[in-house]
This record gives sequence, C-alpha cells and structure tokens, in this order.
Amino acid sequence: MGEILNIFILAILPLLAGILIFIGFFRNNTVVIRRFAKYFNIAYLIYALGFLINYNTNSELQYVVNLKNYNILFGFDALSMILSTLVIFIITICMIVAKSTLISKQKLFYSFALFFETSAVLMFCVQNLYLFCLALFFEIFCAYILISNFAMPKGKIIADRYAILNFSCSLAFMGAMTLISAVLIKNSIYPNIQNLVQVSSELSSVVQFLAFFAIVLLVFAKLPIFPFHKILQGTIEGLCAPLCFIFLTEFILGFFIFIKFNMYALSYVFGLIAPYLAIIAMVNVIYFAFLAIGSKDIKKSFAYFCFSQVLLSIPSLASININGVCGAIYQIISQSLILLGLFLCYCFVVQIFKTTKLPFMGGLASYTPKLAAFTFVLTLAGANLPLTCGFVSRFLSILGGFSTEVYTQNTIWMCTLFIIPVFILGMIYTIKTFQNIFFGAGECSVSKASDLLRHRWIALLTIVSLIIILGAFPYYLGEILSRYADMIVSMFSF
Amino acid sequence: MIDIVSLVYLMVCTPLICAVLLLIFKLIFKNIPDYINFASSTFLSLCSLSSSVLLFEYVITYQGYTLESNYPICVIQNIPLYFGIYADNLTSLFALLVGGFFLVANIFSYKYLRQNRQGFARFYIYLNLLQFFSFCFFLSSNLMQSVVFMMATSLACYLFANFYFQKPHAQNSSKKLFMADLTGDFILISASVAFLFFSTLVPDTINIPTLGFNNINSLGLYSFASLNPFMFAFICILFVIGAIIKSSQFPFVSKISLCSDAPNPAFSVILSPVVLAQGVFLLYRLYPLLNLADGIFEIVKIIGITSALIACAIAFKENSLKQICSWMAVSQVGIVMCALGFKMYETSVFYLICSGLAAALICYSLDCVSYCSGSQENIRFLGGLREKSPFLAFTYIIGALSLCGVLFSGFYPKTEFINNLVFEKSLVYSLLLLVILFMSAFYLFRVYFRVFEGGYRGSYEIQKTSRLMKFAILLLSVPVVFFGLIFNKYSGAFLSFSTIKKAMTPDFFINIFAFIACIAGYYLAYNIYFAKRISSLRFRPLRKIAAEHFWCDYFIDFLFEKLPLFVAKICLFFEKYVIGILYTLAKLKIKIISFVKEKLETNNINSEFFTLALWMFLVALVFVILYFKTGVIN
Repeated sequence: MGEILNIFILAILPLLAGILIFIGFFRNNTVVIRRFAKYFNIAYLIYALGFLINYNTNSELQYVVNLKNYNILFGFDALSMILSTLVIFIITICMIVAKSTLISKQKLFYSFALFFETSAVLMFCVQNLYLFCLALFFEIFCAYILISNFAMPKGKIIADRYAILNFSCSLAFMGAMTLISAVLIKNSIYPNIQNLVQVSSELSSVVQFLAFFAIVLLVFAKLPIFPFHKILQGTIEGLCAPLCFIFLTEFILGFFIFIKFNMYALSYVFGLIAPYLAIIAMVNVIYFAFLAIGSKDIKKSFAYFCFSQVLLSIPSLASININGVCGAIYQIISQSLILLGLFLCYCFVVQIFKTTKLPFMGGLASYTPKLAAFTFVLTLAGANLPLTCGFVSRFLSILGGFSTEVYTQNTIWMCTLFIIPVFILGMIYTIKTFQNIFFGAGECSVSKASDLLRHRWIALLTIVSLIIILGAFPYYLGEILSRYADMIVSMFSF
Repeated sequence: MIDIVSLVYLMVCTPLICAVLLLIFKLIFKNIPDYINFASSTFLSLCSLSSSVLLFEYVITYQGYTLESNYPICVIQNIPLYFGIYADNLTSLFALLVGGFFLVANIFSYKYLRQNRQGFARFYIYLNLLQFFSFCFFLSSNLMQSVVFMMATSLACYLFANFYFQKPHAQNSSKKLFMADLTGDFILISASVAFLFFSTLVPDTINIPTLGFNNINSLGLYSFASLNPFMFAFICILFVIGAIIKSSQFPFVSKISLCSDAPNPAFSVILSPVVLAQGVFLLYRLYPLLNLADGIFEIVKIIGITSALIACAIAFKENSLKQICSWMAVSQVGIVMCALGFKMYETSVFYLICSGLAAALICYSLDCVSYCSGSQENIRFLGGLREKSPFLAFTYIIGALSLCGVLFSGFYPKTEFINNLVFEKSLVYSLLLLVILFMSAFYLFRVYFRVFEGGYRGSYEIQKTSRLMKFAILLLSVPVVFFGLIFNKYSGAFLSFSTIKKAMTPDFFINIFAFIACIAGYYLAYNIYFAKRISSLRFRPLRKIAAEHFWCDYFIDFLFEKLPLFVAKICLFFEKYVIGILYTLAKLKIKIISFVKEKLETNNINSEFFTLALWMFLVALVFVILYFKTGVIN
C-alpha cells in the first residue's frame, strides 16, 4: 500500500491534470473538460482518503525526491493529512456545483482550480522552507487569476487588492523564512520545518520574535483580523458558489501556518504571547459577529460571520492543552464544512432573487422546500446544535479554555466565558438570515423558482451528511487529532 | 420475556419510530389519509403510556431502587458522552405525565386538524418528536444528555411555533422564541462543560459516567472542594439562569407566549409541565449541587415569586384565550420555583404536577371553546357557552377550582406550601402567595364569566363539541380530581429524597385565609363580569403596565433585536469610516508611490505590487544583514 500512496504523486497529480486541460488536450470541449475535472477530483479525493486511512499515526510520513543532489523533502503529519483531504473535498464539491453556475471560461476555471489544489496540497506536505514559499506564491497567483476572471462585479479590482495584501504578507513570511534559513545554514543545518522545530529553542529570542511576527502577519491576512479583513470580505462578496474554495482554503491555510510555524516551531514566543493573541482574536470575533448581524447584504454579512467563526480557533489554541488544540482543529474543520454549505445555499438564493440585499428576500420556503430543508440543517449546524460537528468543536473549545495552564490562566478563562455571547450572536445571525430568506413576507417575485438541481442536491447532501457524521461520531477523528495535539502541547512546559 | 430496561428504552424510542414511519409514509405516498396518521400516532402513544405505567409500578414496587442504564454513544477527546436512562421515583412520575399528556394531545388534535385542514402528517411528526425529546430529557441519566435534549425540545417548540409559517406574526415570534430558548441552552451547555471539567479534577471521578445524576452529589462536593467559591457560585448561577430562561421566568416571562401561533393542542402541550417546567426539573436534578452554594436558592425564590405576580397581573388584562393560558402556566411555574427556592422539594414537585394537570385541563377546555367558536380567541366576542356546551363549562370549573387550590388536586399542594411558608415565618411570601391566589381566582373566573356566562357576543355560529375532544378532556379531568388525594396519601412512596422538608401539620386558620383569598377573587370577578355591580377595576397605572407585559416583551426584543442591532450599527459606522479612511490612505500611498516611480523610471514598470514587493524585500534584507553583522543570531 505504501508504494501506491506516494506524497509526491499526491502533490503533483492535480498539476498534471490542470496542465492537460490548460494546454487544450480536450480541444476546448467544455463538457469533457468539466467531466474530466470532476471525476478526476473525485478519484483524487479517494486517493487522499487512502492516506488518511493508512497513515493516521502521528509519525510523519516522508518521501524524498532527489533532484540533482538537491533533496526535496515531503512529509505528512496527522493535521496536514486531514486538512489536505478537507481542501480536496471542498474543491471537489465546488467542481460538482460549477456545472450550472459557470458557463464561460470553463477551461480556465478547471485548470486553475487544479493548479490551486496542487499549491495547497504542496503547502501541506512540503517540508523545505524554500518550496513552501514557492507553493505559497503559486497559490496566490492561482487565486488571483481565478478571482480576476470570475469574481463579479469589479473582479479585477478585487483580485488586485487580494494579491497586494497577500503578496505583501507573503513577502514578510518569506523574509522570516530567509532569516531562519540563513541561521540554520550557518549552523550547518538543512533548512526544513522538522529541523526548525528541533533547533528553534536554540535560536536567539530576537530572531524568534521577528520570525513570529512576520508569520503572524501572513496568518492575519488569511485568517483575517482587523483591519486586514476588508480585502477578504470584498473577495467573498464577489465570489460565486464554485469559487468558494478560495476563501475556505485561505482560512485552512492560515490556520495551518499558524499552528505549524507560530505554535509548533516557535513555541517559546507563542507561550509568551498566547493570552494577548486570545484577547485580540476574541475582540475580533465579537466585532465581526456584530457586523454580521448588522449588515443588510447577504454575502457581506456572511463574510463577517465566517471571520467570527474561524477566528474562534485562536483562543482555543491559546489555551495550550490537548482539548483546546483539538477543539481548534475541529473548529476549523467543522466551520469549513458548515460555511461551505451555507455559502452554496446563499449563492443559490442570490441566483433566485437576483439580488444580495436581505430586505428584498423572503418567502422562498414555499417555492424551494429542498433548499429550505438543507439550509435549515446547515443553519442549525451554524448555531452549533448537538449532532452537528459544530457542537463538538464548541464543547472541546470550552473544555480546553477552562483546563488551561498558561501563566495568565484568568485571561483565557475570561476569553472562554466570552464564547457564550459569541454562540448567541452566531445563532442570532444564522436564524435571522434563514427566517429572512425562507419565510418573511413573500418577496419572491420568481414564482417558478426551481428547487435544487440534482448535482446541487448531491453536493449539499454530501456536506450535510459529513457534518452530521463528524458530529455524531467524532471519535475517529478525535483520536488522530489528540495524538497530534499531544505532540504540539509537549513543546510547551508549564 | 422483555426486561424492564428494554421496556423503558422501547418506551422512549416508540415516538421516534412513529415519527420516522410517518415521515417515510409522507415521502413515499404523498397523500396518506388523516386517520392513518391519527391512529398510528395515538396507538403508539398509548403503548408509550402503558410502558410508563409499568415503569412507575416497578419503581414504586421496588421502593428505593433506581433503574439505571448507560450506553456510551459518543467519545469526545476521551470524554465519553452517554445516552442512558435513570429512573427513580421522580423520573417515573414525569414519564407517566409525558405519556398521559401526549396521549391526550394525540386524541384531541384529530378534530382540530380536521377543522384547519393543514399539515396533518407534519403535526403528528412534530408531536411525536417532541414526545421523544421529552422522554429523553426526563429519563436522562446525565447532565449532558439533559441539556442536549432540552435543546432538541427547543427545536421542536420552534417547529410548532412556526407551524403556520405563512403568517408573518408566527415567523417573527418563532424566531424570538428559538433565540431565547437557544440562549438558555447555550448557557446551560457552557455551565455543564465547566462543571464537567471542574468536577473531574479529582482523579477518582474520571471513571464516573460523565456528569451522571446518580453521582451529582459527590461530583458537586468534589467541585466545591476543588474550586474557589466564586467560580463555583458562578457555575451555579449559570445553571439557574439557564433554567429561568427555559422555564420562562422573569425577565423572560413573555417567552412562552411567543409560542401562541402554534396549533392549539401543541400549545397546550408546550404549556404543560412536560415542556415548560423542564428548567425547573433540571433544578430538581441539580438540587444537591445548588444546595452547596450560598444564596442560590434565594435568587430562585425571588425570581419565582416575581414571575408569578407579574404573570397574574398580566393575565388580569389579557383578552386572548391562548395568552391567558400562557400567563397562567407561567404563574404556576413561578410558584413552583418559589417553593423550590424555599428548599421545599416535595411540595414543589407536588405543586408542579397538580397545577400542571389543572392548567392543562383549562387549556384544553379553552382550546375546545376556540374550536366551537370558529377559532375565536378573544373573550370579548364569546359568551353564553355554558348553555351550548355545559361539558366544557364543567371541566373548566374543575380545572379552575383545582388551580385556585379550593378543591380537588390543587388543594393539597397549596395547603402544604402555605403552611410550610408560615412555619418558616416567611410572612411576606405568605402574603404574596395569598395575593397570587386571589389574582388567579379573579382572572380564571373572569374568563369563566366572559366565556361561559351571559349572552353570546360573536358572529360565528357555535359548533357542537366533538366527542373525541370531549373524551380527551375527560381523560385529563380524572387525574385533576383524584391525583392530589392519592399523592397526598402515598407521598412517601412517590417521593423519597433525603433532604426534603416534610409538610407541616395543616393549620386550620391558614387554610381559611387561603380559601378567603380565592373566594374574594371569585366574588370580585362575579360582581364585575356577571352581576355587573361594579363597572370594572380602574387602577390605571397597573393596567397600563400589565398591557405592556411589564416590559418583558421589550426586554426580549431588546436582548435579541435592538441591542445587537445597536452595537452592530456602531460597528458598521466604525467599519465604514475608520477602516474606510485607513484604506483610502493606503490607496493614496500606493498612488503616490506609483507616481514617484513613473517619474523616476523610464521603462514604464508601474506595477503596484512590484513597488510594494521591493520595499518589503528590502526591509527583510536589511534585517538579515543587520543581525548577521551584529552577531545576535549566533
């Protein structure tokens, strides 16, 4: 089995598929391109699941590619395995949904979506710092192309802003990586993530602090924090349903970089400033939650809701214990799924009403009962009700928050208590939006609004099933995560 | 031969099976006849009731034996969450109540739904789900299961409140109801998780089924010993706040009236103790824990009596039948909470059951009135129904007399409570209870004289009461008459709890006072609404405040609508102007850089990224060189 499951192949496969589409192998036949991309991605997802099933231990699965005496090291640990599978799943769903949404430029969309997938998977599995930066820039480039071509309205402007912010922050990140690489090379150590983790405690505190803040800058552009959120918010507003993988992958990558570099590699600095990070994140969470309630535009409010939900993972991480770390990882997994489902539903709603303004929506439940049912389940999941994966993540987050042992225990406790109003605000947002769209006064002028098409129905059913499975049976994933969390927490000594 | 544990699991799962079957039938055969829904649901409900009777008999027979079974269904991070049953005297009594109330609701609903011709299958699916959730809640073996199924009950209540989702009022009120309920649930979950952590700090407690009710006493002691008193009190306060919200107590008294758009039979179930008193039941379960914290029961006591007074005062002014029922239910639960606040555990349980039965009888009688009069809810357009439907007038009177504590089941707990209060030397609370009794008698007989006496003031021709409805009401009136007597005689067998306070020997004069208070209420209502000797009560400030529902509606509105919107507006203002200015400055900076670059360079590289990238790269490079030079890195 180990011979078949090869990380290098996993990372490179979508790139090859994308190139095939891009060079015109399918002679611009849109139906063939679409089907090829979709079925390829489903097969690719199954391949990635093979990794998850076979290598769910914490020992890093490694593979070395030797290119002219230059070793490229690939490695998977539990977290990167789970997150890369999640990203592949999200992109697969987006490709299924794209059928009736994207009509033009299909070749460009599918090829760049696959390139984007490669870059994301590369970031999860590559161990060399240099290659990591390369993958990061490639990911931004792919996202830039996709946004500038498919975001509406003013796709070009949105893409420019997105690229400026991300390139700037990535340069800061690259600066940090260069600094660390220089130090490692000077000490005759090969610059990769594993070695960085091993010798990070021996680096001078100034270097650690500098690198930490440079990396945090990139994290805060991806897991957006005030005032960086404006760019990603604009991006989300402009995206259509099949492109939602861009911002969801941004969240996942931001979280991954945060946990891998800031928390795991630079644990000394993280241990010191964890309470401050928790406070900053909590303030942002509450701020975004209020903004979500106040906005009258469905996509704008959804963007704020996304930020408030994904940022909740930072206070959980700041509690630095197994429950907190597991809760944070579970949080990002569950929220990615819930936000994916909700975004798809809201995009379908926007398609029906032909407006994004909430006051002009209402009374859709009578016309589209299936869509209403799916949105209702996702709304309940968004409100973190039991039997959904959101509940598990909240449970662990609160438990982790209370069981913290960091030096400013009371700060983390206070942040944990603030999770209750965040629960309530999130719940107010999801329920109000659902009621506004599907009930309310009969604003639905499109009386023959069609209910969910078959492929959309399948996509939403898959998401909802996964949300419920992860909520009802969290044990399997929890077992893998707890081993990983244990490894992370062992870096800290209280 | 099926054993008792399997029987209890079967009893719990029967409504769920019924709901699933009905749903499958609805999906496969689009139009199934109404009577199939009714018959299947009623039959399975009867099966559940029979099982609950067997459970009750079993628990009573093996006095002191507690039936317990746990299945780990979910493990979150080495913390197993159990689904199980914990059947002691209290639980079996409530299981019996759940079975009974839902059987009555099933029977009663058929004709009601036939009249409304809407959502027949949907109604029975929701009803069975609600019954399943209620069973799971009352029989739950641990705190987490209780809270989870409380949440599920909130969901079922929301589905019922939004049953007629075409009505704008139903949409609005159901939304508020769901928000308020979930707020309570989230508070309870947070408190439970905190309690879970702090109670398992001691290694011995880790293997105990997670927050099991059988160990709540020892868990409470562990957490009390390991925590600072402030933290412990805080967790207890969270539990109490959650229970207050769930049981619709002050300042959330108007929460339950938001359900009034639900179908009438479902609304009556929601007002019954099996749904409304879930918060109070949770407090019964957490009694040993709350008993450890000082002053918690004082809060419960004050909240309870305040809620009861406010609800009675609002019911004075109310004209809608459903609203009156909801205020009546809230006031009774308020008295129950007050009794619990005095640590009169047994009296509180007794009062809850008796008042719940009487309130349910009144609710169903008034639902029947509404059915006969073509969904007329306003008592100003009703009247003279005693002649047309004497059965309803009779059952209403039974319920009213029981609720006022003059006769039947309601007499015993009221006597017990007021005697205990006098024994405790709580004169203020005794007087307030007398006032509540007076007010209850007044508004109940006001409704009676308005609805059943005088001439008919409506335009709709009164229909005959359905036999099925009469049968359901009759089923309910039997326990209203006899339950109090039986319970009073065998209370030792029904409830055995180590810390309860036994009822004092009834004092004749105290009982006379209570009786006089009720009679005074009746006499006043008689003079105003029947004999017309007094025009009306013109205490304007009170009327005005009561009409405003003591601003409790505004409070819920403020909490879930106005306050978030107000803060959101401030945040939006900040976002629009402060962030806007920041971004404008950034844009300006980029423009200036581009302009300078254009001037400086001739080869037309005017990319904004390039400039920024160059700057950032330069800064990084300077840092690297600086630190290599100074040698800090080594």
